[in-house]
Amino acid sequence: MKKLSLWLMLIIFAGLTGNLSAQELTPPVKAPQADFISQGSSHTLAEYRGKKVMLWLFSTWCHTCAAGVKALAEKHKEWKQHGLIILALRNYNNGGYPGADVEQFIAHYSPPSATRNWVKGEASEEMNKRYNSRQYPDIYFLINEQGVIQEQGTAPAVFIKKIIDFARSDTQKEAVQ
Amino acid sequence: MRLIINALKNVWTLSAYRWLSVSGFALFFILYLMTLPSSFTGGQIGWIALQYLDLSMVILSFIMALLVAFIMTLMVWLIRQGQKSSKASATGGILVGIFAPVLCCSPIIPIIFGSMASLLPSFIGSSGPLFQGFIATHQIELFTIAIILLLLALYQNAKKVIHGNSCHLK
Repeated sequence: MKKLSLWLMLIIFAGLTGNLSAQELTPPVKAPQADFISQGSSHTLAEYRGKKVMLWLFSTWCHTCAAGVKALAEKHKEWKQHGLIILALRNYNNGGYPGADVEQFIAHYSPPSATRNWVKGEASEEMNKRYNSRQYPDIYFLINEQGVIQEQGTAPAVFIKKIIDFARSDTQKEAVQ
Repeated sequence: MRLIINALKNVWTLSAYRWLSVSGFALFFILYLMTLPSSFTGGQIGWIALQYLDLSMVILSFIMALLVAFIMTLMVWLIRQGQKSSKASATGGILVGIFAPVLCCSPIIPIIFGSMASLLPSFIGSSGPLFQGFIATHQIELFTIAIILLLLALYQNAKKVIHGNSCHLK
């Protein structure tokens, strides 16, 4: 019991010190540049400068991610109306565990018409290191037109209201002010 | 099966144990109803997860809560009789049933493994997603194991209730 307690304390201590040294993207912060693959070609986040973007990294074995696809697909009219672009990217190597590719996964949980305008692809290793260093099953970033991350979180189905508020916000006007 | 029914009949002669079973069932039924759908909410438990409840989760919650309530009743009876109860299988079954949905898709495992990676970076660092992915894609197997453990615990404790501290003659 004493040895177990000692190990637990070591792990907690390592966790605290590890946390302090881990690179974190704490909003508001400029979104680091990174690339991803979509439809067979490489793209960068810089291409979406001037637009409101939801960058969502997820793994296709994850139930929370399935719920996220459904929840986001249900609000597709909202995203279209307010010009929010959804970058739905599979974690590099699917987060290290095998699973469906991103197109199959999204098609399984939503009607094609609801996700037609999504940018679907796979994150590069570099993007995963910068945006998902802790290897969460899923993580999303709400990036405004100025390329600043305003919000981050996991499980978009749970925080759909925050995403709607971001889509509806006039971030260009806020930047001027 | 007869052993379990007889053990419960023995214990339920007192109304206090009948109430214990009913209240235990109610408590664990609600607990499982709230934790099972949390695999769809990144581990978040509560009202937000309830919208993801489906019939299979309700049935699973019912079965597990029933087994836990019976086990709990028998264990309390055994303890009050001054006998040892069988705890390991029951604990395993209860914990697997509660933690499997919570751990599958929440940030808990990445945070724990990230902390452990400070000590064993090369081994632990990439193990978090493997562990979590395994849990997410083997939920049916995990709940089956949980139910088997609970049935085993129920049988072990029922046997002790029926046979008591009987001596074994060589």
